[in-house]
Amino acid sequence: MDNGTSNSASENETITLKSCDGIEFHIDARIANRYTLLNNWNGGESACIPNVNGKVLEKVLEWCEHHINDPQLNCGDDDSRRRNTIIEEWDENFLSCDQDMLFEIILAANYLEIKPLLDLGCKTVANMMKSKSPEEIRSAFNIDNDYTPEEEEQFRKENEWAEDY
Amino acid sequence: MISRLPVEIILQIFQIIYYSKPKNRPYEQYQTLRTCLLVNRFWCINVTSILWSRVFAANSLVRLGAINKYISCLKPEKFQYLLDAGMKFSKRTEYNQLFDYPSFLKELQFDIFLKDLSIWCIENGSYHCHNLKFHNLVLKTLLELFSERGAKLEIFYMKQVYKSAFPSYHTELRYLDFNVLTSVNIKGMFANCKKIRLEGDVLMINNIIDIFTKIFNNVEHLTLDSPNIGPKILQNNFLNPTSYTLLNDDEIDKKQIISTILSKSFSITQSNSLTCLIISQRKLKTLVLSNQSPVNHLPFHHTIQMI
Repeated sequence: MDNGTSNSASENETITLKSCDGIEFHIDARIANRYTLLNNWNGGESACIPNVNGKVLEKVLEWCEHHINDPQLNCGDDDSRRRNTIIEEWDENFLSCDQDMLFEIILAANYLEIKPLLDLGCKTVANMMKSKSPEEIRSAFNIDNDYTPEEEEQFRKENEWAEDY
Repeated sequence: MISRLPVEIILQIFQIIYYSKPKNRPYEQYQTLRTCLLVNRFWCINVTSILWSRVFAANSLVRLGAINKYISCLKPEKFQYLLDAGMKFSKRTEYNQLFDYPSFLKELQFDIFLKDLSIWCIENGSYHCHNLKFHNLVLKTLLELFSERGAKLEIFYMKQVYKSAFPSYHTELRYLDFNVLTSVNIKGMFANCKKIRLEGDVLMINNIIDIFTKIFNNVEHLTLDSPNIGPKILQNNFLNPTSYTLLNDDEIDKKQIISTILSKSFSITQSNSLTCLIISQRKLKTLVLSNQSPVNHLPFHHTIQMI
């Protein structure tokens, strides 16, 4: 989206973003230009981003800053990006936080339409599910089991083929 | 808590699991998803449609359990018909299905489906029905099941199968009745398929291109990988007698053949939808035609570019 703002922000240009709890961040304008953060920045004045608090916004902006020189995504790249499950070391360390923060980052990335960060968060959660039993997943993510034993057994049988190899 | 994530993000996580293929554990994604659907009802609803969307997509597996499930979903009269034809499998589901599994199919690697079906027929057919007639009947019955339950394929692959890996496959290809694909009870499931990949000997099957062009109507992305085409097949499938006289064994030029295939077959039926065409030949460079808008300028050999 254009928003009447130049897409060729220079390195020295900064803008101010404000989290929903009032914390201000002065960031490289190129970051705002690159992601939908721009939509929340109404052309020069500091923009307040609802739904994202200062602690989470700080993490999101740290990620954006680190990846500012990454190639832009093309339309239709979604599938190949999702199929690539490799997570770089810096990103892995970046998301080695507590689960609440991880989900907050995912929600913020979704809200701000920062697709690569959203994918990264989803991949991290997906990796946390691998090689676990249903009970271990429930325990890891604090999920209640609302199956009756009969239902669980029925689904186990109906999908047995996926476990056959 | 993960329950704070909206359903579209949960779905994205499950899709990432399904499309991931770790080199040392290539089938881990099936196991992980099956585990996920046993976590709770909400996860089950969201995982099931993904898990059953591409049952026949990973090589080297034999999904007899999935075929059993499909067979058990058949209407009583269809099930009885297979029993009368010699089927030994008798576990038709009597209770109400919680999910309509056949309706979820979206991606079909047809060579895998045929191979698994072949093995299933050998294991579940009585001695006298170990033949292609029974195989053809099960193939037709299952395709009808997918179609009548509303399955809409988005991706169709038919890859090269090497004789050493599955010796009987090539014999079966010659005798299976692929015309069933065009029957009114079946062809609807292929109508909106967007992505097709055909490899090697697939195009040697008599009339197969003719069949494919009748069932696919909206292909956007077509890949022909090392299409193996002989002059007789060309004559039978694509060329009118006049144009065939222009070609003989010595004069056949692969590029010209490819152009002919495209201009005489897919391009005619898919000209309003086709936006990307990739043709790979082992001995030639890859030919790519890719546009953002539908390709409606025919014939193709004027527009194909070598890269």
